Amino acid sequence: MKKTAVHLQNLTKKFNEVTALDNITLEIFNRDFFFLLGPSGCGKTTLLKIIGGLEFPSEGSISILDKDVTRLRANKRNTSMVFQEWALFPHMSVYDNIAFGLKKRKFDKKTITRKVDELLELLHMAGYQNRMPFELSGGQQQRVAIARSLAIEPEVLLLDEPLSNLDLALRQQMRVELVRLHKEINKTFVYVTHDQTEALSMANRIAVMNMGVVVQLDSPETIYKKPKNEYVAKFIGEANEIKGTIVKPNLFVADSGLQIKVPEQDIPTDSRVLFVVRPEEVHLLNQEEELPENHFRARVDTVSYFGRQLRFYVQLVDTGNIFFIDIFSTQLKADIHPNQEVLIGWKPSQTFCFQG
Amino acid sequence: MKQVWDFKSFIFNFLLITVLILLLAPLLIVFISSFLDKAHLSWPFTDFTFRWYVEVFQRETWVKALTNSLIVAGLTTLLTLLICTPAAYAITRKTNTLTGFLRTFFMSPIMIPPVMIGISLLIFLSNFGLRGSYFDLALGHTLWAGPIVLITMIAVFERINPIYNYAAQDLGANSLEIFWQITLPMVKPGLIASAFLAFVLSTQEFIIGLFLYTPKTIILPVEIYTAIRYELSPAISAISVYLVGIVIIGLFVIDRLIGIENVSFSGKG
Amino acid sequence: MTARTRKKSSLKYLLPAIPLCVFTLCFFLFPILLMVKYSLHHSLPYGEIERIFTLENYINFFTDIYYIKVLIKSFLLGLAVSVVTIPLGYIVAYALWQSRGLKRKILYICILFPLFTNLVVRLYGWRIILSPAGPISNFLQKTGLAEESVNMLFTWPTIVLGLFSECAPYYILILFSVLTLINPRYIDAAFDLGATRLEAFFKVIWPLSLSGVISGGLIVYIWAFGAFATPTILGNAKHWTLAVHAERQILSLRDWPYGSAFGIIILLFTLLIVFLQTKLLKRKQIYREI
Repeated sequence: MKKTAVHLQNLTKKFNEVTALDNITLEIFNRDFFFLLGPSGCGKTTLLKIIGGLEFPSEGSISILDKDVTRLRANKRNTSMVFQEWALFPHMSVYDNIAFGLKKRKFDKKTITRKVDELLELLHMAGYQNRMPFELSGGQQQRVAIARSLAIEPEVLLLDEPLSNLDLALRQQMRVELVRLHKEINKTFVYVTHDQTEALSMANRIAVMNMGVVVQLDSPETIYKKPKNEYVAKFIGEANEIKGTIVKPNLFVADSGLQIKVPEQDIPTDSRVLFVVRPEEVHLLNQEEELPENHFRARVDTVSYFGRQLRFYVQLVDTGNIFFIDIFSTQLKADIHPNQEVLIGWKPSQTFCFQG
Repeated sequence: MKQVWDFKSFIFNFLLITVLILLLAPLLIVFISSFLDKAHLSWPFTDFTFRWYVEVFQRETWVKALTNSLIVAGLTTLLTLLICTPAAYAITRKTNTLTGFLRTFFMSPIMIPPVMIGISLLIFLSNFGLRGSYFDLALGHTLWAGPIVLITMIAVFERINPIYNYAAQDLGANSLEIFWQITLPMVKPGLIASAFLAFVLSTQEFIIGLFLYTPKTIILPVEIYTAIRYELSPAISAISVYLVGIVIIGLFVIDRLIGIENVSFSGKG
Repeated sequence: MTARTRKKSSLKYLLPAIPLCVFTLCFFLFPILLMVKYSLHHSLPYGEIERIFTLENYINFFTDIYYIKVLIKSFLLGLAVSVVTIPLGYIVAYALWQSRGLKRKILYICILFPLFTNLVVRLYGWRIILSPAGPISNFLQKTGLAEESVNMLFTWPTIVLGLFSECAPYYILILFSVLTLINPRYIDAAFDLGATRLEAFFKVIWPLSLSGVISGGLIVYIWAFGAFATPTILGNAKHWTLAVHAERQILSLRDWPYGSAFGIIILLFTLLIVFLQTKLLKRKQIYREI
């Protein structure tokens, strides 16, 4: 069985009358690369601050490695936080920044120097000891901030949107490096972000949050493939949505009259639902192939080129519903033009219905 | 946009320059008259000399008053920094009714006519037999300079992003360590500027000084006040220019440290 | 229980404010209270004080037609200085707000420099300028506008001028701090809607800056009402305000109980003005919110 690193029980946080976190219970396992994912204002950063001891819960408790730390301040906890703005102390050199936490823990000077050197090595920043923060680029400041947090050897490393101030290329590079770092040092990482790509590509478990509650807690794949509700489906990835009614356990009828076969779900007949299918699950079909259960004639409206991938907007000939479809350019056999008629379709198993 | 000549902006600029002249003319005339080679001031100003700037230092009363002013200003600066720095730090930590009340409370000494501070402190100090030391004047000047310095310090502390406090706490620092190792180094220029501000305010204060001085601790503004009742002379102008010089040096240093625009008076104050 | 312990620890951040709190209480509030106590004592010749409770100092003040006149004069002086300072200071604050870069810095220094400079030195400057042997008198004689030397000292307009140059810098800075809170785009928006510059000013900026005019004007009024240096240096006994009389009672006549009563009367009227101002400001704010 996996060991629990962080355990939150019935956590509630109120700012005056506003409830930021509402009765949250969740477990983060040891060595998880755990993501808190949600839009701004969903309470994810507050939750992270509570884990780090920079905020205190109004109700509920929190334990780290089976030790109750609910009332312990940040300086008494074995966690460390990497801030969105990095927060390197502007009046201290790189060395002093990283050594700050070590000095507070009364290490001797030799050990401190050795540890700082090791950390800078680990983060590909060897030789930068005497630079001042303002002399560093954004990416370099980011690395120093991480090194500073790792220096105190926290059991849990907390990262608050650490990459959001970097440009795209640097961000992608840092994602890979953070995953490598997590493997190398083998500690628990808790990472807050609103960027779904970041969460899906780096996490081994994700908690999707909305309005102070955890909506779904699962592996990235499950979250993407089996979203629990409409909110998760819309927030993670893109989706075609159609409103309509379930008339039989496996048949959905849209308001436009479009009939779609859906997997059987625990939804009573005649209830209003939202039908969702991801754009990459919709395919352009050939007459020769075996057709899936759902297939429709459609007219191409617009084609957008995204390099390795194309996006089509098509309108169904019979009912007028509009779909968008993503296809890798390499998979496309013939050219497709606007106004051309095509056949589109998808397997029922790749779609979901959510009760509204 | 090209400015065209129009009557309204002419009136506006005319009034603007008039007000600025009204503000600066008295200082300018004092400066010019200090070079006059006559015993008493009378127009027209002719025959200029530098000798008064040397001569005032040969009169014991002026030297004593100037020295006293500097001593009192030094004490005031020390006292103001010691009590206002922690207070500014504390009340900028949070914004609530209590800190709002404290701000108003700390500002109250400059919300009443300074004569009141003079009278009440005089009664207070005499009541406890504490007259006659430089410290009396420093107390009065701190009541005057403290609130103004506090406004500047509050602005300085408010400019610090609280994220640094979080980061330091997260790395294991306690409140005291955060203050000494993080906050204080970051506000250092602001504090030095505040020190100059307190010093300048003390050297220029007159009314409180008038109530609290004793012959031994007479300060320069009071000495000038006494002198100009009997005569207007280039010598008084020269010593006045020395006093004004302290302001010029102070403002220059403050501008270098935190930018002159940061010395302000909030609407609330 | 947790709620109570948290309340306790949540006040700990105010500990560093204690020294200033104690200082203000001991050397500001307590002396004022002591002054109230002294004002209720009976004074004997040669500065002796009989420590009995009496209201005689206040009764003497309000039954003495001379001091009632002084009180009215102080009031009117405060009013006159405010009336002059509020519009003229507004022009400078507005110019400061509109200026950028070097121009703003120069303007700022032109305001801060006299503000910080010793008041006696500035009034001394006015004495040189306005004295019979000064440049203005000289100019008037030379051009034949005046036949002999003119003494502009010891007149009410001169005292208003002196107080104006004393109070204006503070007023300008307070008003400026309020103006900086106004989004300059409002003016652009008003221009966009076809307003002339004056219309834009009176419809947009003036209402938004009113709180600065009121709190800045209040400071001007309080200081002019309680003025001491200007009436003594630029005026004579005829121009003495309540504050000058308070100083005379305390320092020259050594009648501390009576002088204290003067001080308390100044304080009470100051508080009354502050009270009226907050009422006024509140009503204005309600008006603005609607």
